[in-house]
Amino acid sequence: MDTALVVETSHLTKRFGERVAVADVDLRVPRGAAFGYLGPNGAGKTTLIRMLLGLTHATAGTMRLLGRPVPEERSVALARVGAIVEEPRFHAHLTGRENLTVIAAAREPEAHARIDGALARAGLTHRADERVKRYSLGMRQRLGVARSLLADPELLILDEPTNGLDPAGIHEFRDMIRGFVAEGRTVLLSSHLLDEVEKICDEVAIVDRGQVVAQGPIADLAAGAKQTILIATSDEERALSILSDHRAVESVSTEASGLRVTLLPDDGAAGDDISRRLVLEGLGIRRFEPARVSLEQRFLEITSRLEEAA
Amino acid sequence: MSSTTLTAELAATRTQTLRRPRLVSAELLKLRKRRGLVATALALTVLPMIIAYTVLLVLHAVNPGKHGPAGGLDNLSGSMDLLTTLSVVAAILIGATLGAGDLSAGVFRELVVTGRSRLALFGSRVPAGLALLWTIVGAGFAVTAIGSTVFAGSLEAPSAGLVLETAAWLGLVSGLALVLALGVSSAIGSRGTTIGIVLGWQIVAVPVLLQVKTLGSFREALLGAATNDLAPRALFDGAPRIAMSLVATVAVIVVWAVLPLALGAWRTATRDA
Repeated sequence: MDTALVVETSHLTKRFGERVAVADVDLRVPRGAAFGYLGPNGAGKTTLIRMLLGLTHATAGTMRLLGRPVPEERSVALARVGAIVEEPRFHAHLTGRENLTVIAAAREPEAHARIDGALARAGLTHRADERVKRYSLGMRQRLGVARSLLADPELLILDEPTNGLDPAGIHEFRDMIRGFVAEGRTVLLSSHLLDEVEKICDEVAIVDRGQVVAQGPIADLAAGAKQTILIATSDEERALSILSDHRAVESVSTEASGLRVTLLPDDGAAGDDISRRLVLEGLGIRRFEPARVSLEQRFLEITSRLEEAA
Repeated sequence: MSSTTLTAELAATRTQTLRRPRLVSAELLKLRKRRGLVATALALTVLPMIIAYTVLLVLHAVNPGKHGPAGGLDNLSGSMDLLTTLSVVAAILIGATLGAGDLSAGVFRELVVTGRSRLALFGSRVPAGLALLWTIVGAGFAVTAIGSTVFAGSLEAPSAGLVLETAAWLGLVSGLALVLALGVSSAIGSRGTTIGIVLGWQIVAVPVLLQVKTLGSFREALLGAATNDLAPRALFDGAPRIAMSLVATVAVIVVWAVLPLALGAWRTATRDA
């Protein structure tokens, strides 16, 4: 049992008739990290989460949650898992506190004593005794977080948690998630928002059409992207001509601030050679810097490669 | 199995036992906070009894020569006819809400995510539903029993034994209707459809089928035949009865109680949440 991993799947597959929603997924989520499960809408993110939580059966493959096999030891594993799946739902005729009471009743006896703390953590103490039908979407999301804290979770699984939140709410949510990680909890965050995942998470798995296509620390994934250099010179037309003919350049595009040059992989000395050529051609160089490779860029690279392959 | 494992399992079992009342309380909380449902159930059971005895009292007070006392066995019999039917309606409303409430609110998923056994979640609905139903129906019956006894005047008042027998029978009939609606509702996941199906069956179809003599002994399989067979003779002497042995009566009741619950439990355990 590898307790360093809070989620471990092997060849996990889910089919709905002919359609494969999750295909042969091997996912490893390390303990104590914010882990992003990133993919476009319809990529199978929610289906994988639903299988982990026992909401639907897997067609094939195995899963371990907090080191325990599921569904065999599902109830023991889920006792320390808090989750928000899609939009959190509640009994609208009950108050926020009563909704938490209902869920606490299904958990260990200690869960009831956690209700006040969970409401306070989610910033809902002053509205806890109002009926949920009067809550805004943002308040429901907060109540969903409060509900997931009733488990005193080692693992929080949050499926698109910032949906419907305003920018201030998203910022607050981000801080809350980092706070959970700082407490030693693990957060598995599923999202289609690359920027969001990049800001919150330490590691990421990129999923596309039901398959995990890349997985690892964000810095490592981004480092695997093609090198890009931003260049500004005294004569952009000549520079464009020179760069287009260079053996190490894959593509050049013009931007307002200069040229964006994408290099072919596996040529560590290409940057030096390009700068030398430009200087030898008599061009003044005003800017020459490597572009920061974002997760989004890496994601688009990977998924576009897959589309080409398909 | 090691002693550590065994100890852990025993502790888990104890915890499960301790948890059960909390789940029932939570189900009861969900139900009793549905003000519309509780008000409707009270309007179906308590209110008609209060109105009926008030009218009978006023009629007797205005013209004692023409209208006899409000209480007595005859009036208890008449009011029980009405209360039984309306209690069944209230039971169906409560049962259908119990079975589909979590699903329609989307909360069933949230409950499953706790890791709690789905069968435990389903099982907690039965005592919670019965607790609410029997409180409300009991209040309606209390009005009837007190009215028929206190206002009996010169008429024969029901004995304590008859009152208890009638209460137990009303509890059985209404409880079975609740269980039937709960099972169907948990199976199909729709409150409205369940109310339509079970009301139509229990209130319309069963009484009609009991009158169809060509069905012969097949009618014994109907829940209505079994519950009519157990009805207190002193109050329901004129009601249609199909001669059944006590064993057959009990068997029919057990089957009608167990089958819907089994169906509902199976569907709760297997459905995608």
